[in-house]
Amino acid sequence: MPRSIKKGPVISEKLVRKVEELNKTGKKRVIKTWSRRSTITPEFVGHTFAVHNGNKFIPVFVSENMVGHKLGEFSPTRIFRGHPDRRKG
Amino acid sequence: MVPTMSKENDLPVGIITKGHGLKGEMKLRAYTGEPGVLVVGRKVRATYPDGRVQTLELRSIRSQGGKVLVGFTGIDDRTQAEGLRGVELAVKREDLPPLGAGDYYLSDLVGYTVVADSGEVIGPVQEAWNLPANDVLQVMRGSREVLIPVVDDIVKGIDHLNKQVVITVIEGLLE
Repeated sequence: MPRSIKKGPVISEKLVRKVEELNKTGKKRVIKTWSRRSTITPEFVGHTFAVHNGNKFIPVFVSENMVGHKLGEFSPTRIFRGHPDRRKG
Repeated sequence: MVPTMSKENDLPVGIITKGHGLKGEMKLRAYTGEPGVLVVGRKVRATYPDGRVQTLELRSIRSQGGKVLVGFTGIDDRTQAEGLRGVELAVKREDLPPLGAGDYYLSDLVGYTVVADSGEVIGPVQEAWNLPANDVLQVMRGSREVLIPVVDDIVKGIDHLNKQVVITVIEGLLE
């Protein structure tokens, strides 16, 4: 079930401040964040975020079709490196 | 989970989990959502769990309920099909569909050197990941790992001749 409209989306205030500042100045830089729960708003489009996955910061370039999703959805916590070689066992 | 690309000559496409039906078909657990590289008549390299390698020719491929069912020439009954349980299938890089101008396989970038447009050498590409938002290159800058997103804003060009990836360094990218 989606979150109630009355409450609005969850977005880290710090993140909004940083994005607004970049939008105002027109500068580009990678915004480092731990806030995986923050919802992507239209203001985020075109910016690159380094979203922490518990281990490292994964670069996430935000495009229009990502609006409404959470930042954490784009920073997977597991990387599959293939199956173990059974021949060695 | 996200698969990582390796710099091997063969591209693994999936693993046979068990036989299906009585006519020698097998269930394939594909590593990719749609193994489009598997077409009837294509020769695939089959690696058995014990290390034996065999070349098989694809007789049939179809999907059923989200599973991929494959059949090979010479495998006509259930008993033979069960013998291929656990076999990993791989296709040769040469058999992959031809690329258009400017296209490349992400795995080809492994081993390339990442260079800033200012001329500064960042380091070699260790791994390439296909992540939900964008592809990412894991680059070793000395002993430190740097993750570079493969997006037009950052990656300005790929020089296949000199095996270089040219990027624009924006603030915070190499931290």
